[in-house]
Amino acid sequence: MGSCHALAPRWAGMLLVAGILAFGPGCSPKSTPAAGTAAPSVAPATEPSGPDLFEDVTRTSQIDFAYRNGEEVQPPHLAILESLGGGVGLIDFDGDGLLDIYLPGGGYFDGPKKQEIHGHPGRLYRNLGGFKFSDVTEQVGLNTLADGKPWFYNHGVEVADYDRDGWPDLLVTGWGRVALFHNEPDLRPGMGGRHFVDVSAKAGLDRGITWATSAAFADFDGDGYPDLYICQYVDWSFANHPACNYDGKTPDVCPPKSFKGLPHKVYRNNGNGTFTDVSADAGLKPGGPRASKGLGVLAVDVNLDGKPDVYVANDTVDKFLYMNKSTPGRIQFAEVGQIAGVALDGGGQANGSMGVDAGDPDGNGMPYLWVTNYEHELPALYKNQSTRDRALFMFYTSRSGIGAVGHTYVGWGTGFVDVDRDGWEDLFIANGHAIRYPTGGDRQQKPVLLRNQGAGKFEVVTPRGGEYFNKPHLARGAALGDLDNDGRVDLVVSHINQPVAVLRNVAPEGNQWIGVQLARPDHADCVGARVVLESAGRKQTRFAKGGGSYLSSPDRRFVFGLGTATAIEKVTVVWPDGKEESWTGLKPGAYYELRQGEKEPRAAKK
Amino acid sequence: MLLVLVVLLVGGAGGFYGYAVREWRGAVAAIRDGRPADARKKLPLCLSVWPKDPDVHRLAARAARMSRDYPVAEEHLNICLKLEHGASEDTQLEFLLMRAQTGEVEEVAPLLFAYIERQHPDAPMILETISLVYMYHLRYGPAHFALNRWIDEFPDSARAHHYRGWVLERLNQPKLALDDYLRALDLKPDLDQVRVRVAEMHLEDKDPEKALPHLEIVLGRDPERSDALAALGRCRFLQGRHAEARQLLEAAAAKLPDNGPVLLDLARLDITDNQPARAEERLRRALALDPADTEARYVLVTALQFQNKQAEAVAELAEHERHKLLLERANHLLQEEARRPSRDPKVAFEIGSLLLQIRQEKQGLYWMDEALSWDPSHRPTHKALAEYFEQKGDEVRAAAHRRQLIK
Repeated sequence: MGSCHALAPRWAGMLLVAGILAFGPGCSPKSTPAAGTAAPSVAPATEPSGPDLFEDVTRTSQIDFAYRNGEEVQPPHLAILESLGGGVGLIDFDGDGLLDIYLPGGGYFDGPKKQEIHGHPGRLYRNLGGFKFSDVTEQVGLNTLADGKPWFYNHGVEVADYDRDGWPDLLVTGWGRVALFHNEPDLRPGMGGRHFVDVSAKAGLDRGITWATSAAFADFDGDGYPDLYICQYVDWSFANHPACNYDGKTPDVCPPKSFKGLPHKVYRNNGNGTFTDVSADAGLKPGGPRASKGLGVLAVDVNLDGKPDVYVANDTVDKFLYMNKSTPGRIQFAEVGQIAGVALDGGGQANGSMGVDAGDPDGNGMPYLWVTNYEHELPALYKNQSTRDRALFMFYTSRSGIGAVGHTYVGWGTGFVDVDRDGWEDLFIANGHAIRYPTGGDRQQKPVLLRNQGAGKFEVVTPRGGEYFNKPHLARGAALGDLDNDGRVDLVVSHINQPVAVLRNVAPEGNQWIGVQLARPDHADCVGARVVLESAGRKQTRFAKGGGSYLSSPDRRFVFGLGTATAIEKVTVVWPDGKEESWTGLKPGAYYELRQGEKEPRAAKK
Repeated sequence: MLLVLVVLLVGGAGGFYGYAVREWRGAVAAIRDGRPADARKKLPLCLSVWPKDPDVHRLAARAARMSRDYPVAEEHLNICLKLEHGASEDTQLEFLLMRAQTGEVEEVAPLLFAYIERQHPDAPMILETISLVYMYHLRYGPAHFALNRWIDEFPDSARAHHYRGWVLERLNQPKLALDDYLRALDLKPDLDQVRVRVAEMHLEDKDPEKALPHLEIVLGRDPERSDALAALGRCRFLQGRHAEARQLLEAAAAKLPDNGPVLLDLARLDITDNQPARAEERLRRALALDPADTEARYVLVTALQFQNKQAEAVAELAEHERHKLLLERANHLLQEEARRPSRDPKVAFEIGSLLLQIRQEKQGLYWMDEALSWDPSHRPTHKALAEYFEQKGDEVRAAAHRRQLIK
């Protein structure tokens, strides 16, 4: 979220005493007009033009779902809990080659004082093809928790095959706990197919959580099993529920500054279906009034040493960059956010940071870090100039043209995506205010679409997004994924108390593409790998990531736009163990599975 | 022939007198418009024509006082005392205003407000002086009170809205500050200093589109105006038009070589243009001008990192964090004092210490004096001042404060 005030004057970083010393009657610049000098041009920018890039297919998709936050309770709580919203998880749970959609349900308040916090179960929608979906939540067992426990107020989702059985599993995060659902064959009489079983207790994940938000699976210690990083937010509860306002009188949701941050958690995957909480030994920063208010997390290898590092979007306090210093069996991180230049914005200020991603917008082969922020702050793009031994970034938002986004948005779910398949990764941001009664702005906000004009220079092309992009929403989580395997990456966006939106990418067909899915022996985790495609004299790099966006889990396949090129010279994968393999002879217009150790690419399941 | 000479002499004298009258009116208008320097250029002629007119000496005193030339102001007021055989109400007023400006504002403020109550013709000027004195000493609360009074009495004063906007910024009320600035511009559209500040506020708010129309107006009047060019440079920077930003900012820097924000933006451009050494040079200059500029220090960390000067980067980062905490605390205390004046020497001492630590010395010493005005024997203040004056090599004042510690 962010800070209380509507504008953030630069003077907040310094006392303008020099200003008052120069103040006073008669103080004015000494310049005089120069004859014949034209005033510098201040002409406004022109509107982008072209066909719509996305079509809202929600109505025909048969997905009829809204995340509910419980704010309808009377009298209103205005609890910060209500402000986070929910995420979107893309998961091919049944292995039919089509991405299904999991949506966390949110929660409500009950009891005599309406201070009992309860959850709505999430929903799983099976992808039937052709942008039609079917609610299979009950059928697959995702409406119930183990031992009949009541559902908890939930926010986020993260997908990974934690036990390496070849089937993706689901982690749901929220207030007071997380829930891990194992994807297994449904052997119940008359059933068949797949279903999910709550294995939180068996996995050792049923304790130690206060308020979990985003999560990221990634193999930190190199044993092939995905470990788990879970963000926690702040120490709100009904026992710690101050009254706040932003205009001196109207009660509203408190900002995160009113609370202390909670320490985050990291769990080592023991390889036997269980996890061990290794937070105390891993080098994580403690919580506190000025630290660790986690909302977004991304696991990605920033220094190209093969080990996934962790970047955390903290709200109103320093972001974390944990460099992975793990050794086999021991997870260790070194937090370097400040010295690496990614903890704060370009002015040295902490931001209200929510969503996060990494990409290579200028084709230099290094992952830029990207963060969505609160109003009166710019989204932050950090250019990666790290070496293997030293993480180093520069604040690049303005240089990239992203400053044109302006200051009015509160950004959440996000991601790099080559929308038009021209070979340059674009950016999407889902927006919506955090508080109930924003002063000088609206609660609902339009999303932002940024087109990469090439080499990391962006322009705002939001109107070209289509109908959804031209209306305001109360958006939160968002997941990017190719729902129909046509090589055009689609979008699913979750809103607070508004229907989820399914947006089909309808960018013109002219540009070529190729899709890549990574696989390793025995389903070892791929986070930390990178894929380099060479075509038409250019290289494009994509990074295997865990977590990302906000409370969401996107499509883990890679779609490379090729522009008008029709040939692919080669695709190289650098695996997390450092081994490098290349494939040639790949043809545009299809997904390939590149399996470590296999010379021939496989056609991916469609 | 003699008649012709007499006519010429009388005509010449009359013309000269008429010119002196015009100069007098110009001086009065200049004082009314807040341009004491212009008034001081006109007054010598008036004094030569009317050397025994107390009104002229009083206006000269006022012009000198407004220019902070207190010895000259006092000289003219003493002449008034002789000419008037005592202090007239208007001369008394000038003495009170001088006392306000020279550190006795708390003592004389009630007397000055009494002039306001009596609807003295100089009420706007009195309110302005009181406001400016409080503003100079970062006494945001009393300044806000005085400015509110000024605007209540004279709602169409552009200067009052301008100054209140300044104070509101420091009270962390940027929306209200902007409203005041815009009202000032409605009343006096050619207040370019205010218009540039409005543009700067929009830029600080990351909104170059709102800043641009204001800059267009200012630059339309004066295409070479340095602060507007600097702001336009920042606009282009935010818009990603970096080549244009650099051109504008370099032009602004040539005219404003000691402008911190310009140096900072150029340093940012240098870093993204892979010229971190040049960035470091600019940033060190910015920090020499204002060691409390946390933004410049943070960008310096990046510049050092990109030159592989890691140890220096780590040290500057630690200094950045230290300054950030000091500033946050100082701003918080100043705002609290503005909201609820405590008259607590402990609070005044802490504000003074913090300001001295971030090398805002004048204001730091003012708050130390405030602490002692509320508790003349406040030991921490005496100790801090003894150390401060010792460092400055002023043994006399250091000793005076050390003596207070022994008592």
